[in-house]
Amino acid sequence: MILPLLEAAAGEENSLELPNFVHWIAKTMPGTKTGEFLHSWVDVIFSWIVILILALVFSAASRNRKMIPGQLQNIAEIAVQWLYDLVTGVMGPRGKAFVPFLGSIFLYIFVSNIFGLIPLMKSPTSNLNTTLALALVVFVVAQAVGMIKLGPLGYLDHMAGQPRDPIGWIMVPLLMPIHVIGELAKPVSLSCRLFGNIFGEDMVLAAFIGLGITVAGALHFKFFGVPLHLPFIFLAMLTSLIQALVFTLLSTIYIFLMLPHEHAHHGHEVEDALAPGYPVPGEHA
Amino acid sequence: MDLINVPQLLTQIIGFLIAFWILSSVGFKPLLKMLDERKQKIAADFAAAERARADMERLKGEFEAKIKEIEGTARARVAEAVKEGEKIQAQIVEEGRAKAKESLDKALTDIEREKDKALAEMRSTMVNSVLFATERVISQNLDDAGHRKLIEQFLAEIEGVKK
Repeated sequence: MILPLLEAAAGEENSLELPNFVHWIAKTMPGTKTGEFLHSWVDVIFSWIVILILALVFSAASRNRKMIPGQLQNIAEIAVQWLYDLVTGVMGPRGKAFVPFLGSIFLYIFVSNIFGLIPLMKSPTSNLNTTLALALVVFVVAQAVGMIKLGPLGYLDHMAGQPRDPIGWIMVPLLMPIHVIGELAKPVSLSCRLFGNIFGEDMVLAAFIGLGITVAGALHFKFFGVPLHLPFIFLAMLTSLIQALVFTLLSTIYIFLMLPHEHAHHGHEVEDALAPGYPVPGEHA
Repeated sequence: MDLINVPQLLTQIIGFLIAFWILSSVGFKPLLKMLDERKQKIAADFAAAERARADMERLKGEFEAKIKEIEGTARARVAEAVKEGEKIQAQIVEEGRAKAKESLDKALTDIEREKDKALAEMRSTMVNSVLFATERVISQNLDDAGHRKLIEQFLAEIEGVKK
């Protein structure tokens, strides 16, 4: 039931989609390989544009750094400090090493999400390939962190549910597959959640823009449509931020769960992490 | 179009890894380092400010003690000056009194002398006047020696009355 919807969302010819400049360029060269490439690789092209913008903005912000920051450096520092607080708030001081990785994920997703709200642009995150790529990177990093921090035996012990008594060992054949499936489900849930939300957001915008044009036609407006999509732009801005935050927070927690816990009991790491008294974002500021 | 396009997926993974590398090397690491440095600088500045405040408090205490000491000294000196002034005042008053008494005594002596002088003059004048008057009244009955004898007798009687 979900697959046909995802297939439609993945870019079928008849799917509802706002125009973007890459598609316009592609339309100027119909039947050519370049036009076909541009049409099918549109999301990759936009994701590279996002990467380019982020790289330019951050290199401009961190070039000629001063103790009393300029406007751009100040904005970049606020973002970095906020992400630092977010990550170390969940993971504790050990999270400092993961701030660049998780911060990059947040910024990349947030800017990608917002891109769909700019006319003639497209959200790269409204394509499953983009979100799955991110989720797979997070999956690999989380497993690698588990392997390195826990050691191969510790990692297996973790996957087996950390059996410490006969009942625990009896449960290993049951818990091990559950853990493996759980780990494999994480990138699937991460990628589908982000993709579904951003794709749905873009579809809503496209639908209401189309409706506005239809209404304008009925009212004999020739050059512009009724902006019925306007409220959804603000909603989309909110969901863009929330989805970036959700993806980043879940990635943080997935990596955190792979770190050795001295006091946490297996299966209760998240509850422990969210329990009162645990460091919360902002405490390290 | 397939839901998952493996070349696109790999390209996106590579793209994100490049983005991570760029953001990490030109963004997060230098900015986090800068934030750490600023945090340390602020902490050092606060510590320096705290030290300066403690020094200021100490100096303030010392100054207050010195001011109290100076005030005590000044108060003692004022009291001493007042005492000296009172002493001088008493001395001046005493001297004034002595001078006044001396002036009074001198004045009384002068007055006594002047009175005696005036009395002698007056007696002489009276003698002459009486002589003149008596001479005119009885000039023809008595000679000069008789007159003088009579008058001096009269004056001796007067002085005896006076004494």
